[in-house]
Amino acid sequence: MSTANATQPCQCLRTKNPYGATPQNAETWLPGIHAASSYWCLRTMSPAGPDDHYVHLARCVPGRACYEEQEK
Amino acid sequence: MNNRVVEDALLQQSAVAPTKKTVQMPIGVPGYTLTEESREVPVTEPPVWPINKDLKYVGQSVERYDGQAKVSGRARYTSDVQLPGMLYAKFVNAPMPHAKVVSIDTSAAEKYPGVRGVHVIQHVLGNAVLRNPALDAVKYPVVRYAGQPVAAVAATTPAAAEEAAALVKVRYEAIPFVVDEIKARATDAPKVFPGAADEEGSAGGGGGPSDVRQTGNIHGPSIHRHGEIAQGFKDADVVVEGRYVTQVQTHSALETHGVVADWKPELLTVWASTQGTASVREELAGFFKIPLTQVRVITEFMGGGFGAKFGAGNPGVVAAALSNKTGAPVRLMLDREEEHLSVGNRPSSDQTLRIGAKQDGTITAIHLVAYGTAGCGTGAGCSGPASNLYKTAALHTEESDVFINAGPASAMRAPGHPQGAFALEQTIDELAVKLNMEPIDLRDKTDEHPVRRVERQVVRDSDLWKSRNPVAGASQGPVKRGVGMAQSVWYRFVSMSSSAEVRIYKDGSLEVLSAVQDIGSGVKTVMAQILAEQFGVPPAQIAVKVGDTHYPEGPNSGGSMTTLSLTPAVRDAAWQASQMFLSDIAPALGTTSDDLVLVDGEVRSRSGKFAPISFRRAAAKMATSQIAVQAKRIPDYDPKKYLTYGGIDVAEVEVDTELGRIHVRRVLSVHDCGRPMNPAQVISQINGGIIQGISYTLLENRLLDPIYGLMVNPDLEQYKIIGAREIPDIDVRLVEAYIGQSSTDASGIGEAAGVVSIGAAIGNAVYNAIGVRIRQTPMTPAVVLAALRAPAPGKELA
Repeated sequence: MSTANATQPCQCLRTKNPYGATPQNAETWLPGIHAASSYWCLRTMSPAGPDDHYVHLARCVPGRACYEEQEK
Repeated sequence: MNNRVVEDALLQQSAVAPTKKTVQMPIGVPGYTLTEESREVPVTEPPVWPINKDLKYVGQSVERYDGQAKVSGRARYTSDVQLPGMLYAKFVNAPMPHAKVVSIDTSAAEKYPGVRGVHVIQHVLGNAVLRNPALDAVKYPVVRYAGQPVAAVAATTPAAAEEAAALVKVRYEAIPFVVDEIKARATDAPKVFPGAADEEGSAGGGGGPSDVRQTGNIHGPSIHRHGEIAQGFKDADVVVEGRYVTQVQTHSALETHGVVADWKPELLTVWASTQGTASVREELAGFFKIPLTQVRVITEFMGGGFGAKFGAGNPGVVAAALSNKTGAPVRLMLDREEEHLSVGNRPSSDQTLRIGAKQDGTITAIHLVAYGTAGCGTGAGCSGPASNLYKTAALHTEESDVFINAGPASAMRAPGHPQGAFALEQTIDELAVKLNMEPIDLRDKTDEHPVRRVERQVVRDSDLWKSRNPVAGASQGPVKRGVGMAQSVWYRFVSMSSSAEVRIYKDGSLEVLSAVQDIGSGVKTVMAQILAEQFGVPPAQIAVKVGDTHYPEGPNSGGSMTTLSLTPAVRDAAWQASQMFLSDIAPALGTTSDDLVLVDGEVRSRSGKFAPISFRRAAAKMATSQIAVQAKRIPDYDPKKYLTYGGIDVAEVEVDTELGRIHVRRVLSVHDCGRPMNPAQVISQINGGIIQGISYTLLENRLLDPIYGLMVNPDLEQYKIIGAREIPDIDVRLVEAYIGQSSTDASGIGEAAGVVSIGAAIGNAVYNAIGVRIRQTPMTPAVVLAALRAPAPGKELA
């Protein structure tokens, strides 16, 4: 099971789900949803990030060159 | 404006009064399992509604609020917006599936008569400093699919824009490509992305932690498991296994993606064909680094989205950039070809599913290995049904995305679930055959959902199910009849970004406002119904204003969450406004507010101090010109409850064994969505889901040429979509299912509405008709005939 949820993703990562949805009992079914999530980058408006690699919850994490921290 | 905010008063009260109260709420299905449960709710919540039969407007099939505007052509969609001095923009799209853009020469286009601006999509670096200095020299994004936009032209007429776009000279350096998803999995296949972000060879040279690996063109597997899968199969008396393949489907909404952007110095106004005015505003503000207050997004009417229309997208940012550059409004609507190529699709799937069970039907193991392609994006997972429909001692799912040089997927109505259910529900059917059990009995054994249990009873009692011959392939003659069923599941998402404002005017008129967009599901009508129920005024007399970010924030419409998220805020605002109203007019009526009650459009005195007066006359006694109350969504009353919805679809098919043609004759659709706020609108959504699902199962297919990497059917002639002749009789039975979660107790329907389960229901009906299982979509005549010729178990895919 992916543990990417534990890491704060890049603030430019976009998918349909974060737009206000608060899933309940997420731990029960999110694995079946996350793998079905399509992602795009706010900076490029495409599935490739500024570094030309694909964007994904498991990829847009600290350490990636173009990573931008979430504003606090 | 003389607004009053009831929340302030309520907050003051809360210092001395309890903040919670206990209420009794209806729970379960009327006629089957209806009971009551208590809930602790904020004291500001309105009284609990009874079940639908005891309400006047809510729960009734009230006429669609904007139906006449739509059928008469008065409804103004984004593509209808015309502004003075508006320019028309046209994308320049890449003609090849994989390439580096070496140079872009826009000089000829800029000189073309009527052209006012040209925008080139350039590589952006974001805020990060890249480790690979060579990347700084890369001026343009890599082309990863044919049809990817690289530039755009704005001109005074559509024709001038199109002609000038053709004059933009782009020099490409072709890169080897792959569009076949099986070939893409080979280690020597051309790579869509050069390497993992944490691997040498990555353009970014990052190094982020990740436990979902990338190997060549494969992102995955993403693994989910519980229990011991090996032990689960050891414990099984029976094991069934099959390989199921589903195709890529494009959204094919009637209204294509697009915007009209008008960037004035103080405000960027964008009319967008979107499922999320809020998402478009957020992205435009984020992309251009301007405050949210300087972006206004309007969606008066929406011509279909099905999950693909969130955020600004390339059309949004390019149109805005061109408007900024030219100082004029810019319209950028995609054409049908662009719509097929570049703004989303439902990913394919290639699933191997294995299920083990005891002789009594108890499932001991579910093992799913799935590949699928979301083009040059991700999102091809499909394990939702396998993970969430049935109780199993052990579960193991592995899902991998396969990159190919094709347009990226986007969310599409119940992402991953039609694919997953197609495999799961046929495998459950196959298991029933092996166990010599009725399909419904097996599901009763393994599916604990209380509402689906009722729905199965509805199916069991139906004439259609009773007409099913349990012996597969038993009918005589070349055209064989069959009946099959399948179940669906979806989940309860709540958007807390859901607010509404209710206004009462001194002339007795009522208004409700929210930024929510009505994407066709009918939330406008439901909002009017809620006010009608509260004030006793017919819904048609309520003014409903939606689809504008100048109104209180509204939820984005996706994941079946619009109605369930927004309606409690609407009801709370209506309730609080009504209480303020009664307090406001009580002195003029010589009484106190607790003596007053609003019933059937009248204000009445409980003590009989005065004869009932109409709401309109009572409003004239307001001390000020307007009462306005804004309320926002509060959390579900019992958010710890694990809540899913779903339903059952039953299909009756005729299979012509000589021609291979499948004809779906009838569909019985039994679904739940909490309290149906407007049954006619819910049924309409289910009809749409069934039709879209049949189209997916039998007809639609994105075809990519392996030699050139181009989509060969990017239109609505060769990309086959169901027509009126292929649509069956659809009998929808709504199951009211009260769950006690909010002041309206509404839930969602858009995802679970047939589209998840109808494909598998057809598959099971086809098996029932001909005794051969079709494990591939679309089930074209060629596929059916091939399966009939090779009917041995495991050989049906031929």
